[in-house]
Amino acid sequence: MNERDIAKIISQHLNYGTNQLDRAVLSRLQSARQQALELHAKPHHAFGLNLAGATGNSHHHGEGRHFSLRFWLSLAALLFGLLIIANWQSMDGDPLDDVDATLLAADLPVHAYLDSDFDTWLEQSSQD
Amino acid sequence: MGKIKLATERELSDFLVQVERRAFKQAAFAVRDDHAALDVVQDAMMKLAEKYGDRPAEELPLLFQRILQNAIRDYFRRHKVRSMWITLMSSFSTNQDGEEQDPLETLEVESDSNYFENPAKQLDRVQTLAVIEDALKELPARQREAFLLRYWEDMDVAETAAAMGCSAGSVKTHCSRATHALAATLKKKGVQL
Repeated sequence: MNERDIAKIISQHLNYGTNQLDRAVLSRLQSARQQALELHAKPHHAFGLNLAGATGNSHHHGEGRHFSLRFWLSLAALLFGLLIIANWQSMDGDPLDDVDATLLAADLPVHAYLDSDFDTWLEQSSQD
Repeated sequence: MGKIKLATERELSDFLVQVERRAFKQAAFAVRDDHAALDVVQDAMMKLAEKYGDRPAEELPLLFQRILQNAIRDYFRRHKVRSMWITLMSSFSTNQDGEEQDPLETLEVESDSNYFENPAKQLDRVQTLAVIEDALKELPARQREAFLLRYWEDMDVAETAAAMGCSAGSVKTHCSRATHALAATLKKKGVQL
């Protein structure tokens, strides 16, 4: 007996099993089906009110396209916003960074600024 | 104008009637709980009706199977998280969820069919079915999925691969292993096919 034959016999047994299902299970399945069909019917009515006069299933395709466009526009706006923020943060650096860089690059040693006599000397030499 | 014939509500309804029992059994084999299986099937039906109900009727079987398999996987994901929390929150639970239904209980359910009039034959059939169902439950998930889609849902290899999200080669391997494992289990339990 090959694979297909074995599978066929097993499938027959399984089909028999589906006819032996509990009434409660069958009733739940029926109720689930009804709910699904009601859900399927709903968008037709709602959309029909908005676009009275339009024909065919283009309603749904139009709705889908509209949703898709809205989604991509929102995503593009979000990415654009993030890009601007990132760019702004990189451009608007801390001003103290520039001061630090100038101090470190200057000929005068850093310790000179910590010396209180230096300020006095600086004022006097600027007056002269 | 439209070359593609979209499914009518009647066609969708007929399709669901035709597939719902097998879908329930498929889910029940996987999740091993009838209530959870019913929830899974309901989720799959709702998703199909809501998102794909207007697709051509011939596309519905493949779409539904794909949704159903995803719904089963979602169930396991949710169940994993939930059971983790339950384990953390309650160590004194006496829940017996894993208890399996005695297959002989189905003997008490009166069948509408009078196809098997001989009670001995009917008993034999019920017992064989119980062994087959247990053997299916014991199969690895992907093997069971491939076997049921390919042979019970009568999908071809390409459709099964599409529904499972894997290659045609994987489907063939899973089906072959599943069939051999089932045949071996049934032989071991004394069931003659």
